[in-house]
Formats: sequence, C-alpha cells, structure tokens
Amino acid sequence: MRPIIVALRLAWDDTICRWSAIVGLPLLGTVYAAVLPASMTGGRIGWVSLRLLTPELGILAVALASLLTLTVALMVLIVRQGRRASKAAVTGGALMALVTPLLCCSPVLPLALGALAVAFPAIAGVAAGRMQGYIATHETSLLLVAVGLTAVALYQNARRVASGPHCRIPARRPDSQSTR
Amino acid sequence: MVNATSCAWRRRVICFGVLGALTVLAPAGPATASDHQAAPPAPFVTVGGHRRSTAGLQGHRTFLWLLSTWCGSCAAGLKAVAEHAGQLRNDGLRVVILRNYKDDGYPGPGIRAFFARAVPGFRAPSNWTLGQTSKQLDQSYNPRHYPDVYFLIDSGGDVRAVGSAPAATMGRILHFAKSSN
Repeated sequence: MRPIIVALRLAWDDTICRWSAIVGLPLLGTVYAAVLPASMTGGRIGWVSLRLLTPELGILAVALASLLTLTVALMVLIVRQGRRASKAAVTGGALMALVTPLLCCSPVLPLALGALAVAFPAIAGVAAGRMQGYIATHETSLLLVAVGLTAVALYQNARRVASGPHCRIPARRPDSQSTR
Repeated sequence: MVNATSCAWRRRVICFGVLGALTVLAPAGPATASDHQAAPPAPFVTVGGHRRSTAGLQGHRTFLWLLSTWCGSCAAGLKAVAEHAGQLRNDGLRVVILRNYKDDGYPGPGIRAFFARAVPGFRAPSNWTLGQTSKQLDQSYNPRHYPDVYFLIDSGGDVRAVGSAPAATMGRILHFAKSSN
C-alpha cells in the first residue's frame, strides 16, 4: 500500500499525470458504465445500455475506471522518466472488463465461432452456447478478476515509480576493486 | 528492430479491428436469414406438455422469442416485455416464449424457474405461451445458436423482423404490435 501512496503523490505533483487522471476518470467511467450493461442489451452500447446500469455494475464501473485511471497516470509518469511501464496486467484487466459483457449474450461469439467452424468443423454446434453460458453465469467473477488484474497493474507500476529513476550500473566483482 | 515493432503493431491493429467489426456489426444483424420469409413450421412443447407447431401461429401477429435461461439479456428482456404485457395484449399481439433446445448447450433453469427469478410474482397473461423448442425448431429458426433471438411474425405467417435483446429493442416490438396486420 505504501508504494502506491508514494507513487500517487509523485504523480499528482506532475502536471501532465494530474491532468491525465482528471480527464481520464470521467471518460473511462462513462465507457465502463456504458459497456458493462451490454450483456443485457445483446452487445448494444450507448444510452440504451446506460439505462440498464444496475448499482452493482455501477460500483464495478467506478472501481475499474478509478484503478485504470490511476494506473495510466503512473504509466505516464514512468514513461516521462524514460523507463518502461508494466503493461501486461493493465491490458489484460481492461480487455477482460470490456470483452466479457460483449461476449456473453450477443451474436459476436456464435458468429466468430461460425466463421472458424468453416476451417475447424469440430467447434461448430453448441460450443458457442457453452462458452456464452459460462461467461454469462460467471460474469461477476470475471469482472472481479478484471478489477484484480487492474489493481495488480497499479501496484506494479506504483513500485516502479516509488523506486525512482535510476541508472543500471554493472555490478563489479570485489576482486576488481582491489586491483584498482 | 523497427520492422518487428511495426509488424507487432500491425498484428494488434488487425486483431482489434476484427474484434471491433464483430462487436459493431453483430448486434445489428442477428438475423437467421428468415427475415421477410414465411415462418417455417416446426414443433414445440408448451409448459403444460402440449405439443404445438409454429404453423398454428397464423392468424395472429406473434412475437416468437427463443431464449436461453442463463442469458443476461434474456432476463432483462423478459422484465421489459412483462412491463408492457398489458399494452401488448391490448394491441392483440400473441407472445410465444420458448427456451432454446437444451438451453444452447449450457445448463440453466427451466422456463418456469427462469420466469420466477426474472419477474417474480408475474403471471403470464392469456395471450402468452411458454414452452420449450424442439431440435427441429432450433435448426429452422436458430441454426447459429444465438442465446437471445426473436421473430416478429405477421398474421399471414411471414417473418417481418428478427431481433434480439427486447430490453434494448422494445420500441420495435411495440411498433410491430401496433401495426395493422
């Protein structure tokens, strides 16, 4: 927890990071609030899905948007320091949260598997239904995993920020010092 | 190095492009290619155990909805349809809601349990028929195994429109219910 607080303080002191967070939070909040109820609209996103936002999905949207905003702000700071940010977990979390509601009850998966079935007939038939059924019945768990992944990404990037910018100096052997 | 990076980016752009195209296009067109064609006759079984056929739907405008009971858009859609049950009845629309054959391959509750969970306390009006699709009906109407697909069938037995997710497309159903034929 400590690295996160230290890193967020450093990010807040940086104007670009601060503004990326200020702009990013409402933007990502709106995106998640519109996308998460898409499982109830057959994949349609917009006002039609926003209308169906439940309190549970609202909490998840706020959590995902907040974590992603903070992670992106820290990633901006790391890049500005000339280092590489940790991207795998945040990409996984963001994609999982966006794709889960779209796959569960829309025709996306049957169409995609139908196209694949041309090449691989074994996956034709009820495979799409099984996958969609699993996603639909475990949707909340999958979204919580997405929250967890984004939280891990926040922690990983916070540790990098908290450790500060540093140069990599090759370690010297003790005997090489004695020859100096 | 530059080539490898640009190739990786190209692959990512193609992957996201395909996913995006499917996402944008698929919800707009879940049709099973029976739009503006005669509704094919196929058997189904009502919750009362009576064997019926879609051929018997002629003579009334019908909202035929095939759903999987594990599907989120189906529960939300059922709530929306139940909210407009009185209006649909007054407009003379017959509502036929059938659980997909074997629930599309994933175990879900029966149609009665689904109703009790999605719309507790709701009693299906007399213009509603609930039941279970047969394999033949599944193949005729829903060969791609969409978990949520409905057909708006006119009194002559022709499919006027195919859609999904009534919670998002209720206006279209109400408009069809008000139409003259």
